[in-house]
Amino acid sequence: MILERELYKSIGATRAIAKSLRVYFVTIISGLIKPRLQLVTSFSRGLPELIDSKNCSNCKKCELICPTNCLSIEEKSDQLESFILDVSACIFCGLCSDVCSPKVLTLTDHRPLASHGESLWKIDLMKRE
Amino acid sequence: MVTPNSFLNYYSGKLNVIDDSNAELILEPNEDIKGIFKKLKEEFGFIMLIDIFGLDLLKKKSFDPQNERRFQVVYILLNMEMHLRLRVVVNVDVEKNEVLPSCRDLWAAAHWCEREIWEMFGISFGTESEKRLLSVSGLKGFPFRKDFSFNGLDESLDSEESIFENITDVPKYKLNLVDSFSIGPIHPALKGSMKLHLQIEGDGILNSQLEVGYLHRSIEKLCEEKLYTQIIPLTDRLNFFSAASNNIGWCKAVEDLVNIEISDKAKAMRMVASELARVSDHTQCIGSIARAVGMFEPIQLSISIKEIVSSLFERLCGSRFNSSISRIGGMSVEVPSGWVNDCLTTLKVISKKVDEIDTHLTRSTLWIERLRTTTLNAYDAIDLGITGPNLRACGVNYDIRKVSPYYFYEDVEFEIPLGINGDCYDRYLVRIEEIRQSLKIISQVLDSLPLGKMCVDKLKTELDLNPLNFAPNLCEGYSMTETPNGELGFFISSDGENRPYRVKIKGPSFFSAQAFSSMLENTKVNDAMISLCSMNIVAGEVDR
Repeated sequence: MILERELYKSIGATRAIAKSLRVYFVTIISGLIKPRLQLVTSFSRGLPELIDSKNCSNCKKCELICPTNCLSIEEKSDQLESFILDVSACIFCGLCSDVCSPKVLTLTDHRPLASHGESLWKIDLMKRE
Repeated sequence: MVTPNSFLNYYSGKLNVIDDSNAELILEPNEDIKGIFKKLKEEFGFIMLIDIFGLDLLKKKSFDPQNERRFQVVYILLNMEMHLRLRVVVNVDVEKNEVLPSCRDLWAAAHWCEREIWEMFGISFGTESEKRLLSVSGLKGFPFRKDFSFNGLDESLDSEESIFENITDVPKYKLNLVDSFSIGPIHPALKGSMKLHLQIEGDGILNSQLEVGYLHRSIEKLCEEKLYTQIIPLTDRLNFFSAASNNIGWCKAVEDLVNIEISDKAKAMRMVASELARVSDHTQCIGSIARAVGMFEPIQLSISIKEIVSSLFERLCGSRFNSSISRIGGMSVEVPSGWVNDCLTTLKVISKKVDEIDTHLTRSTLWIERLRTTTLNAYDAIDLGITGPNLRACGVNYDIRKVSPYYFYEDVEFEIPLGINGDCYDRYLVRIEEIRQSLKIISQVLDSLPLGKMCVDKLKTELDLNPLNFAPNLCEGYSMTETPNGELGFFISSDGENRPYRVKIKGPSFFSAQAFSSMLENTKVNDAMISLCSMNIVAGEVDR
């Protein structure tokens, strides 16, 4: 579709004033009358969470798939010792929860964006459970 | 009259036909490369150069260092009449000091590509190409070679060259008006960092140069170290205003490489997501032009449209901007209940807001007068390799959604808006009409959304689709989608591993940025920002 040639003509002063007056009143009135658009409350992707550490199969797939290497898992004689997440590196992409086959790692909807010290950026998901 | 058959017959011996519209031609450097390219352009109609990139074969399993040449330079050419794409592969050996002929005079788009290949691979195209484009000056070695290791920067190579040559043909009384200055590296509409150098006489621009590379993260090199699925979040960071369409482009490229057919619902939702991304990207572009002109109402409107679209994305996949929405073999999420209704209701709101932008801007005398600058004619646009709305604003009817339709673009009704003059105003008109067409596509797709699931576990393939084990066989391929800025292509070369051997991203903004450097001549300084915004150059895509 070729754009209409009429679009390229400029308009005169009277029409411009009439037009802007129309736009002015229409926006005021419609702003008063119309109800505000409300969407269903949304779920936003946030930090990963370990729901059930006992069922974790220690497969370390989440550690391997993480694109920013922010997860580190330590185990002691087949028992999960610590499940450390580097909050400053996590980009909330959700790949870890995709590959988790027992579905014990999921994303929550909170994203802490401030902290008192750098050490607090590394949290142990086992202890948060 | 050249037909596909006559072309096939001419190169019958050397040509590998991939499918109906793709072919590959392999050349050796001792052949007359320039002559072959000239013949391809003038006789067989390959008037557009899509991309040039290098390939280092050193660590490839099938590579035989005794008999084969180590490097390949791949040219992707396009015949716009017959929609033929030709991949010309030239084998080069750098150790023997082989210099390839530059094809700048055939396709102007080749210049920046050749500079990039020289700085990344050390393959020379003559002295004109041996200037750094993206990487930092003083870098030793060539970073994209497979045996590169970083040994710090060499500060002796860090030389400050003057950007512009001294002007001699200006009359003497005008010489004190000639000056040069730079704007940046902060882009006025936050589209990344780039620096604009201008040489001016009074307020008229004599020469201009766009300096890029401030946002270079070397995504292509990073891709070589990552799993195929891990690259999806990286593609978010290409054109960060329309992350969803980049994700979809990457996943489509991988799926095309290994011939996976995804479920119908995933196809439909991919169309919806990429069209929503187009709406948000185009409104962002219009808002930034309005900001450069100094009209405030449209900025508010464009921000509110962007807000609506990002809340739709948030509801769909949980993230507003860096959506990482698609996965290889489907989408990352199922459609939440009620989302389709929400989307259809908001489409009406968006279309009203677009109409409002239209009433504010399209006939406004100030707007028309300020936007009648930097005209680009169709011949130059094709020569410079521009794609997308910037090309269509020059009147060239080329849109991948129509030309080689993917997903259900064949079945939906939409039109391609074309400009007449190719100036900023036309780019604005094309974008605003494309928003309307995108809304039309979304509503058609959502009205007849196929049933089923988006992430199907069992697809018809022999490959393991588990993200950790996914490894295509030994193959390579180029696949493209129409993103808001134009053709986004991914060239993937696989070596049978679960990480790609080489990925090349053809960002549409790269070619717009190259064209922009030469477009500003004979315009005024206060038009520079308007035309920069109207080209919608996003630094994330230029620098990669």
